[in-house]
Amino acid sequence: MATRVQLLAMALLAAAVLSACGGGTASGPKTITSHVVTLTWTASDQSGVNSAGGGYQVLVNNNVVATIPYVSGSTAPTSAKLTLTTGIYMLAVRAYAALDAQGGNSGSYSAPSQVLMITVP
Amino acid sequence: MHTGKSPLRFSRLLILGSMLFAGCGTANAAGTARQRYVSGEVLVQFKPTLTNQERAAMVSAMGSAVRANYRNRWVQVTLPAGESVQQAVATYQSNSHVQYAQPNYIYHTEVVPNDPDFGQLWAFQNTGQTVNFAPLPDSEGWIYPYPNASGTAGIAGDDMDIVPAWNHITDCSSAIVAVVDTGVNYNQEDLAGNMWNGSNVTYNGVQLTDHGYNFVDNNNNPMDLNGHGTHVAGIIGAVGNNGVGTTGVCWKASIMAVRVMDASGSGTTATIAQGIDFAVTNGAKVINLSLGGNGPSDPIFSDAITNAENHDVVVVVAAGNNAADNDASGNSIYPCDFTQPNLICVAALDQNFALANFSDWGPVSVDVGAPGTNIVSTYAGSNGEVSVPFSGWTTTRSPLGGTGWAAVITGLPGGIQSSMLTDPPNWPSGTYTLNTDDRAYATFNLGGVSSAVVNANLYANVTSDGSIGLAYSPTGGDPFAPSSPDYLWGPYYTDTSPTQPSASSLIPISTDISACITTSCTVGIRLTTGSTADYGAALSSVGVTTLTLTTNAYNILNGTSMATPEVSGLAAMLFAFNPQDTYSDVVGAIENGGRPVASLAGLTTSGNAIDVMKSLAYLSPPTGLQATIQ
Repeated sequence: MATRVQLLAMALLAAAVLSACGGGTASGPKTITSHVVTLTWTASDQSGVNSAGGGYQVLVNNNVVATIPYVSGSTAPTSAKLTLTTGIYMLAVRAYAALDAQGGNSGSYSAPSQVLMITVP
Repeated sequence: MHTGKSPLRFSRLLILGSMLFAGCGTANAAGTARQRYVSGEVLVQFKPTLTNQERAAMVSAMGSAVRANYRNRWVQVTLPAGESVQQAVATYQSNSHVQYAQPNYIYHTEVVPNDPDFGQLWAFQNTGQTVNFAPLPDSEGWIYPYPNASGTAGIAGDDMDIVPAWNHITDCSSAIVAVVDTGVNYNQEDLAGNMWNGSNVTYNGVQLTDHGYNFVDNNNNPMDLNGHGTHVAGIIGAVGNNGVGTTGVCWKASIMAVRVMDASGSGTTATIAQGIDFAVTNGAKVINLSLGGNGPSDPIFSDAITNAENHDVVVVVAAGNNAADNDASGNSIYPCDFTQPNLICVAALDQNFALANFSDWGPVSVDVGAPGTNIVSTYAGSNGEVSVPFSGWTTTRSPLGGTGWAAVITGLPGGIQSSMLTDPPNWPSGTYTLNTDDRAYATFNLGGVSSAVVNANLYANVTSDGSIGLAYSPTGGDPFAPSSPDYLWGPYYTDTSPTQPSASSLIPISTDISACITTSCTVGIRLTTGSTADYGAALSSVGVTTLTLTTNAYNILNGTSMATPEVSGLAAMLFAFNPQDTYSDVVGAIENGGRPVASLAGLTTSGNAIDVMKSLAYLSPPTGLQATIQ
């Protein structure tokens, strides 16, 4: 459940930031609501991602908000649910694996996927 | 087995040795991809809220057993029979009392093979060594070692970073690599065990038995009669850690021999395109093309590479050895300048990771750099040189009689004086006699060799009512006597009007005369003249380079031809490491997973030298990201 806790913290943080930035306009107060955003992506074909120590990370506004580890089967999970409040977000996913570029097991990451810009109503 | 000979490598191993986990020590046999973590156990870090007793109880409740407790609440857990490490990590990770769970990873010393010439392979482990391998005679005029007779010591660490990668994979045999070249000596002691087995393949109605196909002679014997292809093959996959010779990028490999170039190292669009198609049809995942020619573009050749792309095959090609920008107008080199996405074009780096002084480059066409100087690898056999002094040549003139060709000491005005065979004898100032048939020939004893190539430098100025040509005869005597002589070059004319000899009159000739392997082989030159005077011809050198096949030859060569198979080996390794990889994944890992090198910045598309370990660890960015708001 650690992931859910992290997500909640990020959502609250995002809401706080948005609230702080939202005042001062002439259009009056807005209603902040939360929505579940389901992200999906294409499974990597790389064995390091689809084995123990591998998986994906979800990035919101360039910050890692969730880690989706490989559990079992042929591929690591390829979806994630985020709870986001009203606002505009940049979403991306990156892959990770245990093997690092020096030949050890400290891990390595891919570059982020193409960024998806969404507006949560 | 590590046989660290240099102080630097020894100290590196000592440091690594101190990090060893018990029981995870030494290098194992060649060709195994190692297990990455210990089966049947995981490491779990519990949250601070639990006592030791509570941790033990929780582990027991999950069917596991505590094997050891470590600092900072880490517990080594033995799993129940049948539970996989992946399942256990996931189960523990989802437990709210667990901070982190992971496999018990296995670490190793850095594996270096026990092959006796490994210390010469600076491309794999650059310790700053001076490569002092004794070269064999070469027909291409390279100077060994590079860049001059005294060689050079490189910069330690300027290498392919392959040694740590060998901890993870040495067996690339699941990815067939086609060496489309001069053939491969499949009997060479350090290659025989890594040749592709095509014995169940029939091609053009011919049952394959010798590990590939020969498109030069259209038969099933792709034996290398030049040496180049065998050298290339050894860089990719000389058997590693067998205590013999050298090692390839891959210790265990599956090398398909596709002969498309003859003993002189020349091939055609037809042989090369057929060779590529053969490789694709028979399952190659990587095709090595250490060859090239100046433009124009060649649609049939290009189509063969596109066919490879459509079958998910990576094609690795040489940038060329002209010390030129391939992207400049008039400088196009193919296949390097083709634009298919499955193609990687490779420049050569020296032992200091500077661009080799012969290497081509191209910010649009050339992709990466790889070691290409003083490269030691397997070879097809022993080279020899057979020559006959011009004073020993037989000359004839008809119908006039007398002397046409003459052995003289002369040279171009202002040039070096040397022994030459000329017609007229007062070449280059005089003109030849009209309406004659002048011949000169000599006997070259080529008995017992496996292949023979004539190399000659000819100056020629002959108008269109005359001709100049070279021919050979395996039975001896005047090679022009038969009604249809075996011409090895010509007959041609060179001028539309009389032209004084100059440096631009020089024609280098290199032709396979393996059909003339006898003790009485004659090679000759013939000048026929008409009614228009011209300045004639001069042979400044004629020699026959021979190759005698052996099973234990090694050689040192320079060229982008040698850099290319470093990359092909890496491509095979990546396919083997990630069997689901597409050509796009492999090309991306090689080009993006390389090491930035100043000497390649702005001269190649990536600016990178290949880095095997970084490419192995390289991960492609995820694709297909979609979001649904609920």
